[in-house]
Amino acid sequence: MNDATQVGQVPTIAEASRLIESKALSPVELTELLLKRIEALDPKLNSFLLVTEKLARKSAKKAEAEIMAGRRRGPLHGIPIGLKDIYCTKRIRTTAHSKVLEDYVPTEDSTVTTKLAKAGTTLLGKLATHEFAIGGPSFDTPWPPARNPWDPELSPGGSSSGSGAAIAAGLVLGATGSDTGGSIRSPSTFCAVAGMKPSYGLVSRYGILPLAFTLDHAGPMAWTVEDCAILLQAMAGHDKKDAASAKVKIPDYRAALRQDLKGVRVGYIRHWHEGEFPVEPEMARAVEAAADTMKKLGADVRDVAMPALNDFAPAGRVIILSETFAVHAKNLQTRYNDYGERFRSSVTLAALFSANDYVQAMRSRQQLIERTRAAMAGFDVMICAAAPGAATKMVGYDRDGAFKRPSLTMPFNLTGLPVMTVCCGFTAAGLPLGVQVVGHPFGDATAMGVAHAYERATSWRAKRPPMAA
Amino acid sequence: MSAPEPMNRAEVETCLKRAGLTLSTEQIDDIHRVSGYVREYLAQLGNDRPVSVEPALTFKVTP
Repeated sequence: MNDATQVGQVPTIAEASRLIESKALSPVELTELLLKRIEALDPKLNSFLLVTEKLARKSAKKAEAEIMAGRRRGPLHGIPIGLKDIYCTKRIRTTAHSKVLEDYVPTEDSTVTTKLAKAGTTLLGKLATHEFAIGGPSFDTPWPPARNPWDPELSPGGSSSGSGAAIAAGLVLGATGSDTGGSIRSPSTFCAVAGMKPSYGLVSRYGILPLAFTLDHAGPMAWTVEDCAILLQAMAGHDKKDAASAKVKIPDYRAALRQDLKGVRVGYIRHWHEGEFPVEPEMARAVEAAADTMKKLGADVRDVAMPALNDFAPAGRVIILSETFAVHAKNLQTRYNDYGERFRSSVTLAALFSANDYVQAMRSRQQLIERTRAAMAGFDVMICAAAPGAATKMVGYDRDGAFKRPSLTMPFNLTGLPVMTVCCGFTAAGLPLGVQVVGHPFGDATAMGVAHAYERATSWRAKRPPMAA
Repeated sequence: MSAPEPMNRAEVETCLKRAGLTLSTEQIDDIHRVSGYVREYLAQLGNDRPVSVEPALTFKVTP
């Protein structure tokens, strides 16, 4: 159970919402508290690219007036959030953390920006990302990279780096992220926050600067699974402006959160992190302990045999780089050196692919989707490690390492499956570890329900980074 | 462990030119150096699939 007094007086969204509803907490006071925290802590974290202070105060006052007048819109009314700086915001600079868009001011909001504003959230500002959600952490972009509040010498993960850092440090109560190969799940793991990569097509991508069309997912990040459920409720839904948007019934995500796991069939993908891609021992132990906790909650946990990680890697790399190159081709041809080194040196590799390579990658993807579907039959969810280990140092760019390591997260971008990532413990050095809970297509509520039950059975949510307390 | 044997440099330069990119010698050197990884994962990807495996199916996901 969360206790605001244990986490530096920063409530969760659910707690703040209850307090606001009962008029025990003022949205204006909450916004002021967070603006003060941003002023005090963010110079060490660089999680914000832009603090929209004036707008936030105006929005909080409006929320307060509406709530006092009996016009409360719902659980997000008066809740301060941040947007990853690839979500377009009308009349507010949106940079993708890149010199290429250094002065870009959109004329239109993204669909998610609009939905969260309509739900009554207060926008505190735009959050750091790896350049265009792929090329970081970089030191050659106009703004420094975000740092990890658990240890500012370490990476917060990425690309939704500012979102992870700001939530963990208690600078925002929730944020948006995007995930093309793990960009919500990696910062969620390294910063100990909850991050939801929804099913492909559940949340509109309209107005979010694209990275790779067929792999991009937009989703919520927050301190708890319950908070992610509240955010996802506002973000999800069909949008005719997004070509990939799905027409599906949107369930009540919060109502689907469970207290136990009786009768839930959990497939444990042990062979990825114990066999072909051994993770750090502390990560392996933490995931094992998470499986044990789920068993104690009543789940039937059994090993599941997924396709090998190395089967996913080539298709993932070819698709993400090809589609990213296609998005950026014109600027790469005319402004190559305006991109940071990590972005351009990665994306340029797509020039070595042929049309056949891209089509074969998409066909390989289809086979992997079928094999994953077969593996998952008979299970309600699957679980696996979210990262090879805890966060690593910011310095240095292991160019070759990126080719040698298969990703534990990319398989679920290729398959489009929903994944809820939650903290599953800490290393002896006090750094966070994470586990992925994977659902069936549009089984987002089930994945969140299982993750919530697990989260509630552990004490991980009582611990914030020392600098944030 | 060093990088795998790179692709032919002239081939790399041709690909970059065809893509419309203008890179410095140093930047071409870097792409050339890691091009062996690209060749490796393209080989892993392969070409031999039944005709029925087609990309359009990827986007026919239902709950």
